[in-house]
Amino acid sequence: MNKKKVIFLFIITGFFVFIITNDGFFNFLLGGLFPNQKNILYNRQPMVALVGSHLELVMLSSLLAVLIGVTIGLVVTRKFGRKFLPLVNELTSFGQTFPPVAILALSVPILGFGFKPTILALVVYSILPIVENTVSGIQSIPDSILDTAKGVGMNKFQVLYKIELPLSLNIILGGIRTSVIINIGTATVGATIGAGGLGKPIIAGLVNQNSSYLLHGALVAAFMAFIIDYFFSLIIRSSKKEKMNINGG
Amino acid sequence: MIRLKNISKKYNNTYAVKNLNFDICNGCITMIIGPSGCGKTTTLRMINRLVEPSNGEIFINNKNILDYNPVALRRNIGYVIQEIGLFPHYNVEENITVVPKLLKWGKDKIKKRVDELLDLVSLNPEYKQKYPHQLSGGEKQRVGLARALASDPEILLMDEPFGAIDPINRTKLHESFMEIQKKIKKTIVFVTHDINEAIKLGDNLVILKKGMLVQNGKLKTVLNNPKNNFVKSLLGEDRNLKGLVLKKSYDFANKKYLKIIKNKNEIDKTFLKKDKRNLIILKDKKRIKGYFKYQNKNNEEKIKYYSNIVKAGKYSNLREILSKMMEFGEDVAFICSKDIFLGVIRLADILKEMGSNL
Ligand SMILES: Nc1ncnc2c1ncn2[C@@H]1O[C@H](COP(=O)(O)OP(=O)(O)OP(=O)(O)O)[C@@H](O)[C@H]1O
Ligand SMILES: [Mg+2]
Repeated sequence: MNKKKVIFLFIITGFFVFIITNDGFFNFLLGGLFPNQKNILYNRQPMVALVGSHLELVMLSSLLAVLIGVTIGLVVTRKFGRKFLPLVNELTSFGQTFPPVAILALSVPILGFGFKPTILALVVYSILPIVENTVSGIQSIPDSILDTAKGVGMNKFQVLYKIELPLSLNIILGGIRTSVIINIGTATVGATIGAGGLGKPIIAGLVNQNSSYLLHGALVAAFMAFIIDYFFSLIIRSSKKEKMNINGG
Repeated sequence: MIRLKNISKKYNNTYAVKNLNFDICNGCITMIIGPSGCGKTTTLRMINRLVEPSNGEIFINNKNILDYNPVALRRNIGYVIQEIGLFPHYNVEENITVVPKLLKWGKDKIKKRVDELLDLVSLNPEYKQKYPHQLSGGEKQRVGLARALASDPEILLMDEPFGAIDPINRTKLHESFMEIQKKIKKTIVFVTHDINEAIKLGDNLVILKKGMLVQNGKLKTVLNNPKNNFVKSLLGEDRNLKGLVLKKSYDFANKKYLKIIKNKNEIDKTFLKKDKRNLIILKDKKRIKGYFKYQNKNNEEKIKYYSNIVKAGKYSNLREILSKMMEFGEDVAFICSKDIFLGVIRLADILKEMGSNL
């Protein structure tokens, strides 16, 4: 792993923690941008708490999406699940044309308002890139490698965790990266149905025509997305360096 | 011994192989040869149960292979394929130790085995830490062979292992493969579609055509008594040259009429003049640099130095050497096993052998 990049990650994370725990930075920035605004910072809940509940939404939904998505991806690339592969391919490509807000709207009648329907919507939507990448990651492994893995006497389970998973890890991580980033954005919409998180100042800003509130929430969410994306780029790059191109074997 | 009894394999109502019956003897190299699509790979893969036959039985040392657990069976049969299939996320050492680890060998035993294997396939211990993408095709194939031999299996299955390697490196690999087999004496089933490779390496031939057995037996028997036109055309028509392939260079390399010197000023002109066959070889510690020969052209006497020499390995056959001589326009070839100089073979020696075949 590139040392300079890790240090950079720590610095920006530190800066992020600083600006969400101290109002000074945003007071200065937004106060400068909106000099006529009376209430500059959203004050019904401290920013740390909003970030906390936002992260809770994102992490929980992403964790579930990884568990379900990777499992589906692995099942349809096994011999016994191969017949579902075309169906799953159809669903993932169709599903991604569906706006996440629509899923959110559809889940309200089933689960009511609040945290649960938001999680459901986030999970459903973010499973798709994970399934897609798990399938393409596994399928990118040359037959000759799987053939020898079997030929030297690995059982199915050993082929999976010694060969298939490590060799498709980067591509799977790429799918997880996409879905986490999507989730950070989509989770803000959860505030409309009362899920909390960084959507709250954004909605409040829209309702009260307070651009400062809106920008406060949006900037923090964008910064969070940037840090997490950067983190993924680091782990993906470092494992790539070691694992190099599959065709090298 | 491996015995195939009435083996057939059907894919969607067409036979990939049909009614195969033959034995593979212990400790020898059996070459399966035939045109593309004739069922060579299918036959090979049935031996380690990567493919299950539709009909018939296979026995290893009189035990039906269905009585073995397939995973356990494969751990005790080495397997090498053309694409090699090294695991790209494992370094050389990890690739080689895959099977011993599956067999749960102790750490010390595994470590010792890695060193033995690298030595066997002539790879420097520094290679242990390298990844497959850092290796040349030939080196990869050596690692592939080491991996297949790791648990010291009795049987080795090889599917066109040298097929993707350029001719020069393939010749080198052939030499070291023969050298290795002389030490380990495994039962090797080797698929190829190259008749020269089959003749060079094989003790026995199994010739397939469209999934059926055409002829099998000792190499010499098949060469001398091809069963039909298919086998004849597969072997090539030139009868005299064919006999030469059975003759390995180590039986013919000689040091007659030779003198070896280390320095150019040690040339002994009278020695060269005495007999037109005489040669003086210039050789430093390891490498032959060239040779001197007496020439008498238009009554002009000359000692001529040749630095473009034809070299061949210990296990090359006389046909290969002859065609190399033709290619380079030389009438003498130098036979070396690794760095040891075994002697020379002259064009006249080969012609004499051809004469004795007629
Ligand atoms: N999994 C499979 N499904 C269907 N047909 C197959 C399968 N494997 C092999 N075949 C067919 O069986 C026949 C024999 O194939 P095989 O791979 O054994 O040939 P081969 O002699 O090894 O050929 P090559 O020299 O090209 O490697 C071919 O006609 C091939 O198309
Ligand atoms: Mg084949």
